[in-house]
Amino acid sequence: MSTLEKSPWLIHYDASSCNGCDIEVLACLTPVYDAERFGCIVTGDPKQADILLVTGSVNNLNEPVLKNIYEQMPEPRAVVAIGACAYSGGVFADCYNVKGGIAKVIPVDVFVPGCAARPEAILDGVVRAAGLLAERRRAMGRGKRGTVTEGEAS
Amino acid sequence: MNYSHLWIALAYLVLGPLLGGLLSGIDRKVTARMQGRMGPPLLQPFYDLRKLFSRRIDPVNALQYPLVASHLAFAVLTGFFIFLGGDLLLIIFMLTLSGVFLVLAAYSTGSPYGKIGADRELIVMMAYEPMVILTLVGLFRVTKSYDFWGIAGSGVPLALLLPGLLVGFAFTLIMKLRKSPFDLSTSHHAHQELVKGLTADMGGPMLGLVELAHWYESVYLYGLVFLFFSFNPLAAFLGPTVVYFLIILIDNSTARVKWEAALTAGWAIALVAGVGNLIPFYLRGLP
Amino acid sequence: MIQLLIFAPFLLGLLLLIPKPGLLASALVVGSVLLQAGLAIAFAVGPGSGFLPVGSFELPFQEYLILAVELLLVVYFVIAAVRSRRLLPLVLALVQGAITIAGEGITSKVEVATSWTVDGLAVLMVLVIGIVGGLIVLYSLGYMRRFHEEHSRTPDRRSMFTAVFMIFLGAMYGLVLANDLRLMLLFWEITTWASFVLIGYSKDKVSEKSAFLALSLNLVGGIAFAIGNLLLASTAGTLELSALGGLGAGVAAIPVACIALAGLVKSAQLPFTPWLLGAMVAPTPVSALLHSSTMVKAGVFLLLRLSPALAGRLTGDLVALVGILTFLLCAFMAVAQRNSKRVLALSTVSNLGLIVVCAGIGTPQLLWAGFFLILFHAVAKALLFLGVGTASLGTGSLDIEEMGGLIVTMPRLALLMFIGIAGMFVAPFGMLISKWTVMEAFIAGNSPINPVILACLAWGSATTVLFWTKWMGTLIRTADPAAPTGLLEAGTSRSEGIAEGLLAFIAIVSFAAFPLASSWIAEPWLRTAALPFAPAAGNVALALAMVSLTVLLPALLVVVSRSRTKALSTAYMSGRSNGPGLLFKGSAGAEKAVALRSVQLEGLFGEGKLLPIGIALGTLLSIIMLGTVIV
Repeated sequence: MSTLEKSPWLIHYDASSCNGCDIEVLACLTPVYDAERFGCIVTGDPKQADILLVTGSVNNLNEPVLKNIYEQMPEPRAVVAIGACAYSGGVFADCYNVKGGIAKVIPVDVFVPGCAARPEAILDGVVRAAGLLAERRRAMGRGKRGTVTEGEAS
Repeated sequence: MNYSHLWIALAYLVLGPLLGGLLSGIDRKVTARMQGRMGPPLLQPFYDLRKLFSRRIDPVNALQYPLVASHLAFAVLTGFFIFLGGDLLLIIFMLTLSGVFLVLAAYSTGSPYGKIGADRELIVMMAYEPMVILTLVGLFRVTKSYDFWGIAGSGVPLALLLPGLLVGFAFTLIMKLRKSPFDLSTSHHAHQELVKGLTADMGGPMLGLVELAHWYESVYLYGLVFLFFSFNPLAAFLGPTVVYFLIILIDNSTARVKWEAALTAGWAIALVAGVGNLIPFYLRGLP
Repeated sequence: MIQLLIFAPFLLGLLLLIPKPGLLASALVVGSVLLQAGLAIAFAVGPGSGFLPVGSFELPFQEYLILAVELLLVVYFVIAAVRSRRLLPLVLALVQGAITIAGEGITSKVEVATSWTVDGLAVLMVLVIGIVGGLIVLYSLGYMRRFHEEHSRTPDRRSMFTAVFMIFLGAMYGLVLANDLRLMLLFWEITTWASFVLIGYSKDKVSEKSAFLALSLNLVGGIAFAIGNLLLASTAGTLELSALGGLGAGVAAIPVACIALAGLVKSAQLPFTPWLLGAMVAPTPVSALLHSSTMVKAGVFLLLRLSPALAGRLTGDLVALVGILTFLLCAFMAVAQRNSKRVLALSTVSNLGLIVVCAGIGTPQLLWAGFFLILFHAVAKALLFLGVGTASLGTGSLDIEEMGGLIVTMPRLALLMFIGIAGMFVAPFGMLISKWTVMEAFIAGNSPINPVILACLAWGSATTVLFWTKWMGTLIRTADPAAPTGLLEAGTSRSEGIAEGLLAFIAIVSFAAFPLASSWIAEPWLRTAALPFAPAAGNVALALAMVSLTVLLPALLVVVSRSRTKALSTAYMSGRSNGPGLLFKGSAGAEKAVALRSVQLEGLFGEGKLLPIGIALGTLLSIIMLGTVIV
């Protein structure tokens, strides 16, 4: 296994979520789901993170913030969009200030479905993202830039 | 100082991180079990470190990298000189220097998060330093020896003669290792009101250096705990283990405190347990 | 040789009064500085110094000279006090005059065999005065020009300023070489006068008030000194400083306590600290020369000389307690300060306190530590004062917070200040070596006050780390690494640059070469005082290894990382900031630049809280000290 796959550190950004998915992200850390089994650590600093978890949809105000966080992460990096809002804007899609899903602003690797997404699904998304990271690192090692592959819903 | 000590000191340079990383792995495993979780693999700290060093992060300014590297260098040297058999008090000042470098690295970022973390770390340093100095004073006073091997070989039941200093020193370890309730300068867990505080803006290899320094530090800090129990082989094994376990237990069962509480607690315990334990040795001479 | 060393600065000082500020005056100042420094060095290393020749010559008309100068000073103080309508200094000056006249009959009868002593401690002081003092005078040349450009309302009295500086240096030479207490008191009073004149240099309300506070308290010290002399002459029939240790406790107790009190006042120990804090209103070279590297050292120098008469006696223990109290409380108060000169002043008093502890207990190991505390403190603190002076002219403020990012705006100065601060608290540079020696001495000693002193040392050291590191951190914090460097450095004058650079060089050399200073000066001194001590070879080796590592490692790492760093990133600002400089972006496009301020912990360490406690405790200890010897 690659170094990145064994120690995927996460940063969680709440775009404009209703907090439903956020609670579920936190639930992943609880004894029942125990994300640390996979070596996951939730960090607050994008410079220390490998995978960006985003909940909620993008609006005009948080768009630069999301971009900034993404850009401050070292490469290779992966993005997991959690929940219906992060996929398409969800029930808020028609709101005057909502731009839509996360993929409109930054490249997304894994979409986790649900409203709210279930912790098992979120963990699955993280593990898949970690696998992608390892692949991307290998690609970078061969001198190619890691291509961003749109992951399918798990 | 003699050659066998030199070999041990050199062995520390190589084995220190292995031992320290393992301690960290056990810590995380035990913590997880205490919380009813399965926890990460035992070797997770090594996976993390390998990953951190495989990352590439641009520093925030030209001084950040050298300052962080100096932090590691002086943490390593502190342990090296301890096991070489140098004067402990002089070396402990070097340990402070190592801490100062990390704090300076955080200040240099100019980031408010790093800065508040650095401020808090300084306050915590100020809180535990008197106790560390008093501990050495006690060890020196009772064994009449000023170096690691002299104290270890003295055969004096230090844990029994200096219980106040032992408790006080174990207390300072919680602060020094940035464990809860005194983890206010940075965060190991999910609370991120300061982002990462002291280690904010230190990514990839830079964080790896900090982590490595932490491993080296934990080895010689437990080495100092060992001194209290060095009079008996069984105690020498059990004593540090119990202290280590208790520190993890406290880490898991307390909530982070404010800096005022950290300072008051550190100073109060140094005054009561530390000075209180020392006074008899100056009033009545050696027992 | 001694005469030349003492009188040359006096004459040069008078000469400097003549020319108006300009090229000629500057050349004269540089010449005088070089001349007196050369004399000092020649005196210290030249043939015939040998550390021991004890002169027994007298000054011309010594008896009348002393009387005349002392009375002149009293008249000066009286006139100054009357002109600004201050009662307390007036009364004290008159008392001083009365004692001088009344005691004349008694003190002048005493025969003094050796009126001058040259030992390692005196040689150290001569070198400090000559070299560090000389560099500060040199620095003042450029500094004072810029000072007057900035403070156009302050009357330009630069000729007087440098003249007093030179006269002061002469008086300091006399003070540290005198063994005859009458001579010492004479020079003592001259330094009090110099301090008074220079603190009041700006002629505004605040400096006048501070000058008179300094004068009053130092007159109290002078009076104590004079009374001590008088008692000594009448009861013991001697006025030799070196003879005090040999006198029986009963005979010498009161005069020793009086003279020790004078030493405590001069080195601004609690409860007398306020005069030194007030003295910080003077232009920075004054603070550097008088109030940190030389004049206040005269107090601890006297106490170190008195040490044989203090060691092992109650008076000595009480002096040590005053010292440790000052050490602790001043270190505490420095935490809550953000005025750079005040931090330096508090740290000065704190370190002097440590030397006072050494003198009060007086074991060989402690005297060794006291010797090095004097040396390292004089060098590092002078460097810091000069740095702060230059920084304040650049940034227009004495506030440490305004020095934020000095590494970008004044990189050269920031580096020099880094060296100075490192010398103050980083292991194992200068001060730390001495502090460590002090601790080990107290660990081994058996007195019941040792745990108290050790605890104070532990707490004082811990707080010291906080305020120095905080300051270092302020100097290097960079919000925008791409900002142009050295913007504020352009105005720095050449004399400032040279003095600071040389001092930094001397600082580093003295840190690295302390074993040489130990074996050449400190150990011979302790041997002649029959208190031999030498640091253990293993520890010296360890310290030297640490010194070289502490200098070389970070420097090496800076070079390595410079070559490997390809680009810089911006600090993480919760995703809210992009572009140079750290900004918080709020709603509706509002931008707010990050403004950082250091922790002060005012509630715990505020001067308003601690200073009264310190003054009360210090007064109590001083009264007990005098009380126990009189009763």
